[in-house]
Amino acid sequence: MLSEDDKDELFEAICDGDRETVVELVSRARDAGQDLDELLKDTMIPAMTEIGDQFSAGEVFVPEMLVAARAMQGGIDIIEPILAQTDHEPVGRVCIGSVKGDLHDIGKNLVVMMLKGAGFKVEDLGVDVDNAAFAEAAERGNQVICLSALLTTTKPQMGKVIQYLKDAGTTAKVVIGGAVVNQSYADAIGADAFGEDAPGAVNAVKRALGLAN
Amino acid sequence: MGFDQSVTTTTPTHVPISELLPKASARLQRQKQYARVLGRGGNPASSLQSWLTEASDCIGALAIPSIALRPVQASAHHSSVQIADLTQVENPTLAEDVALGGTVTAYLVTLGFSQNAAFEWLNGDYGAHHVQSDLSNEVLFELGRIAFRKQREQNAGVRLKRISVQVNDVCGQGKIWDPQKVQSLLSVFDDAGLDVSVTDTGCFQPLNTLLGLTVALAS
Repeated sequence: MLSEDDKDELFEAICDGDRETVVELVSRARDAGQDLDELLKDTMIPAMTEIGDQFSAGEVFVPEMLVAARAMQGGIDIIEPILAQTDHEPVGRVCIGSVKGDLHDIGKNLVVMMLKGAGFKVEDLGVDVDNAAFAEAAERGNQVICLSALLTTTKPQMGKVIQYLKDAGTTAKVVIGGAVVNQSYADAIGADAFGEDAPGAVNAVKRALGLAN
Repeated sequence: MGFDQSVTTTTPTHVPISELLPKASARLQRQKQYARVLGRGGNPASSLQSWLTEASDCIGALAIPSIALRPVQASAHHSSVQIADLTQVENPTLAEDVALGGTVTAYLVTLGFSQNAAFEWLNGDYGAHHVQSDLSNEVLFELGRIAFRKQREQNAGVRLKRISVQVNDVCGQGKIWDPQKVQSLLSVFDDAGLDVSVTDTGCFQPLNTLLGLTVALAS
C-alpha cells in the first residue's frame, strides 16, 4: 500500500514529470491491491490540476505541462485496464476538434492532454471538422463538445456549429477556446463555457457539466 | 543597379533538411520554455530530449524543404499595387517602392508535409507532436532566412525588403490579406510542383509555409 508520504511523492512526481517514479509507485499500489480509483481521484488528478494552475499562473511553461501529462499517462496506462474491468466511470465524456477550415491543432492537443489528465474520456475529432461530425460525436455519448479555433477567419464557424447542434436537437454542452475568442464571444454565440487556455478549458468543461463553479 | 532577375529560378530549390535541423533545434532549445526543462536534468529533461529526437526524426523523414522565387510584374496605383493580372494589394509602402522603380519577386517557402502526416508518423503521441510543431516552426524560419540570404548574396548592392503575406491574424493585430488574393498570388507558383494551397479561411496547406513578396530597390 502507498503511505501518505508515498502519495505525496506520487503527486510531486507527476508535477515534476518524473514518469519513472509515477510508474513505480502506481505499480506498487496496483500490486498491493490498493483502490486505484481513489488514488487517481485523490492524488493523481489533483497533481495535474496543480500543474495546470501553475501553467495558468505563468509559473511553468508548456514543455513542463507536457512532461507532467506524460508522467500522468504512465500511471493511467497501468490503472486504466484494471478500472475498465470495474464499473468505473470517467469524470465525463468529451469530444474536441478544430472547426471547419481551421487546420491548427496545437491548442486543441494541449486541451486533449489536460482533459485526459483530469480523468475525462476524450474523443479527438482532429482538425477541419464538419458540423455534422460534432453532432455525430454527441450522439455517441459525448456530454461536452469542445470547439477550437486559432484564426479570425475560422472563429465565426464556432457560432455555425452551435446553431447546427441546436437545429439537430443536440443536448451536449459546448465549450469554446482558442487564441481569438473570449468570454464575451462565447456568450454572444451561445456557448456554454469558454476556456482561456488548456487548464482553463478543463475548468470550462467541468463548469459546463456542473462539476465546478 | 537593378535587381538581377536571372538569379530567380523557374524550378524550386530543395534545401537538404540536414542544413536546417541542427540550427533550428539549437534555437528551440535556447527558448526559455525548453531551456528550463532541459537544464533541470533528470526524467523531465530526458522526456523532452527524447521528444526532440523524435521530432527531428519525424521532420527529417517527412520534410521536403523548398524555396521558390518568381519575379512578378508590379505597378503602383496610388496606395496599392497591381501584381501582374492576378491581384491588387493595398500597401502604401510597397506602392511607394514600386513607384520608385522597385522590382518585385514573389517567394514561397514550404516544408512540404502536413501536420496530420506528422501526427501519424509520431503514432499519435501528443507530446512529441507538440515538440515537432515547435521545431517545424523553427525549421521553416531557418528556411526563410536561407531564402532571403540567397537573394541578398545574389544581388549585392541592392536593397531588399520583405513583405510577408499574413493570411490570418491570431492576436487581432497586423495587416491581413484576403485569402482570395493570397490564392491569386500563390497561383504564380502553380508550375513549381510544390503542392501548396490555401483554404477559403486562409490556412496554408501544408501549414508550415511562408508566402510573400520581396521588393528590390537600387541603393
